[in-house]
Amino acid sequence: MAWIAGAAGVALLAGCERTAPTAAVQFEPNWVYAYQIGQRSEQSMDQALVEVESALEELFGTPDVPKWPAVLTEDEEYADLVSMEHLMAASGNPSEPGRGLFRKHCAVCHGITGNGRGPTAALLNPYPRDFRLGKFKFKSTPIGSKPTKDDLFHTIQTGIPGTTMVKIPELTEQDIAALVDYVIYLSIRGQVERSLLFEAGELVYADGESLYDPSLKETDPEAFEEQWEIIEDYVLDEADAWVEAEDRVKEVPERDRAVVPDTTEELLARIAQGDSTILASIERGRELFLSEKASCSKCHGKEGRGDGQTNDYDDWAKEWTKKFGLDPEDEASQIPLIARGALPVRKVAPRNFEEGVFRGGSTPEALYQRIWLGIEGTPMPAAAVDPQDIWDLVNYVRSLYKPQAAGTNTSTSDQVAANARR
Amino acid sequence: MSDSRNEEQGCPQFSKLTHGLAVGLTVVVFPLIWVGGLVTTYDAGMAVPDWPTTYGWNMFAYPASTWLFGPFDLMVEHSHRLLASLSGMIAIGLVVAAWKLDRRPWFRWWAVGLLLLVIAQGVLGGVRVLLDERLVAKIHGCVGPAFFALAAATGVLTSRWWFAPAAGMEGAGRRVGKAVAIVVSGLCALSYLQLVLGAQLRHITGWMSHRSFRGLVHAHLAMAGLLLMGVLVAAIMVWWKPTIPRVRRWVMGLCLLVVLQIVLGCATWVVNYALPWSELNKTLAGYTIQAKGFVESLVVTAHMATGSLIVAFAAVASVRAWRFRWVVKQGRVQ
Repeated sequence: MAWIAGAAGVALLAGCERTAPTAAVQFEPNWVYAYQIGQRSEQSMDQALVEVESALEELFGTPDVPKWPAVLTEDEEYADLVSMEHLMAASGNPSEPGRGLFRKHCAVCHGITGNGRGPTAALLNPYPRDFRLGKFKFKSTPIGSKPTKDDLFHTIQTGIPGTTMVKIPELTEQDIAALVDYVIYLSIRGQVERSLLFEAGELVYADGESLYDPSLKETDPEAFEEQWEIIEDYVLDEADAWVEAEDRVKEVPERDRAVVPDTTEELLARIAQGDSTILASIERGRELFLSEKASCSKCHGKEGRGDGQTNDYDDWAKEWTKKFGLDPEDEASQIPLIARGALPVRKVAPRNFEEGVFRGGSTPEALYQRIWLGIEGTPMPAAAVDPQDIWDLVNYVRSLYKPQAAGTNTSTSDQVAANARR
Repeated sequence: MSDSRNEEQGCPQFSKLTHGLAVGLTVVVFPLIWVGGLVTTYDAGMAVPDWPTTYGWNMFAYPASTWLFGPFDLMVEHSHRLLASLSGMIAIGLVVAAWKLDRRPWFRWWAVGLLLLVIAQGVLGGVRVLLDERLVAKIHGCVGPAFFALAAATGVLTSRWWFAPAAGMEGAGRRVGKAVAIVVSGLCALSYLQLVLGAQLRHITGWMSHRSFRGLVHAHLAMAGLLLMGVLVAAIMVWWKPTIPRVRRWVMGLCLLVVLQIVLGCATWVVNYALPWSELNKTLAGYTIQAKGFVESLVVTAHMATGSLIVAFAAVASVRAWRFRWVVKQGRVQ
């Protein structure tokens, strides 16, 4: 029996290592989006996929030998966006000296392609981020803008509590900077891929139209130049959005430390002392929270337990369901897409403030940003309230924290209510 | 090495030295497995790029001040090599003792086999360093626990009990049912397969599909459930049916280890991939996983080492069960 077990063990060991780590690693095409475009345009996307992947390889290279599109290196405006040195450090095989940061630390969840479909992805909650949509949750820029490099740097450096986004102390600042550049690279590559697939869906391949035909370089250089210009325009569009991010940063206004303490612990202590300034701020925050204007309670629930409207989805789910007319509740209609790699959709869970966990950071400034700017890709909108009033909301949501160790179900907000009654 | 005590106890073949070497080998291999686990946890396998030398030095002459007080990954990798060398030396001693002191021809060749396995394991470790090949790392990680289980079984093969398994059993239950022997052997095979599955999950790479990973996780969970049921069945069998304490003791130990292992398995998931349902626990909902953090490394390595211990316990229980049964069948027990 032991021998059978041993033989089965060896087979298991060898069986799952289908792709040798030394073999050339490829980016995975966006099968899901290509399928949907094909369905919409009622034509096969086989040729389009070949052309798009070929153009992408010409622009961005491979996971082992990345390239940065020539159209971006030629223009000074994009000089600081991504450095080739960083791309080389983050890409490639970790066994090569000075390379492979992404594959070593990130690819297991985010996937080699940055499609959020690494080996572990299907079992994680929340799913790892798919960079190809170009949307990032925790940033200092408004919804619709890219994050800054500092935003991405901060997320990689600190990790995200309650998720698989791990904090990796061994990464140097240089390593993190390399990973930030690589994330931008994968994101731009993924967005250009989507744009090109969309463009290909507009063509009629049966009539001999083509998105990218390298053979034209010899036979019809002018036509080839025209095709390449269109492709490069998409690259420039995406790169522009990233470059503009720095100019779109919304600075958090300075807070009055007497009204908005640094930490939740300090806030709780001041509530316990019956600090009237704090209690008044929390009460104002509570009123706003429940108001039609801010509409926080609509999703987070009247008591901030995350039990309001909980039947919405994030953009990463809507992107391949609602956007293409599929009902996220209709599992059967999703089967062809799940077969092409899409992960089953999950509803978004609004934050339960009693847990006191804030994935985008717990500092007053981080909370202010989340409320003021919203959270990209989720149903959390930018709050339509006076910027100064947001500090009251920050105090209020922090006051809802119920420390587990206290052995009581009385939240500080209950104390606030009690104080108000007095 | 048959002293008067052995003669008195009816086991003239017992050799204290051989048994001591076998037990010593088991005792050395367990920490070796822990340190080996740390090598993987800290990704320290490549901290020393050459083999069998250490940065050009003979590994035994490599200055202790350099590796003991140097970078942590260097200390882990070098101590792994030194412990491995020690186990190799004990295995050589065991072969010599077996050939000089043991009268059982098959056991002499068993000892040789054990030595060959430890040499092969050392070479696998070296190849892993030289080629930096993950598949080799996985095989190396799976051969280690197998060797540990065999070393533990060798402890039984060389023990005084082996030569007189029914000593002191008169009047007590003296029968080990075939079913018990089969169940514990099955548990040994299953726990080893489970360990191999675990190695797959531990040495995961970015190019595995998420379907494969999910399949492996589900298989690992199903196998854990099967093992739990198996040890419970074995525990009930040895508890209620006439048997010998030397088998019961190991089966009960196995039970405790499997329960501990399930707890460690859940903890391993949390320190690697976070709590699957954040609403389960407020503290863990806010926990940020730290790569190579102290608690994280301890939990993961403990899970791996306990897996090896389970295989070893099951192997010892199996060997004892089959031995006793064979002796009874031979009519050597009244």
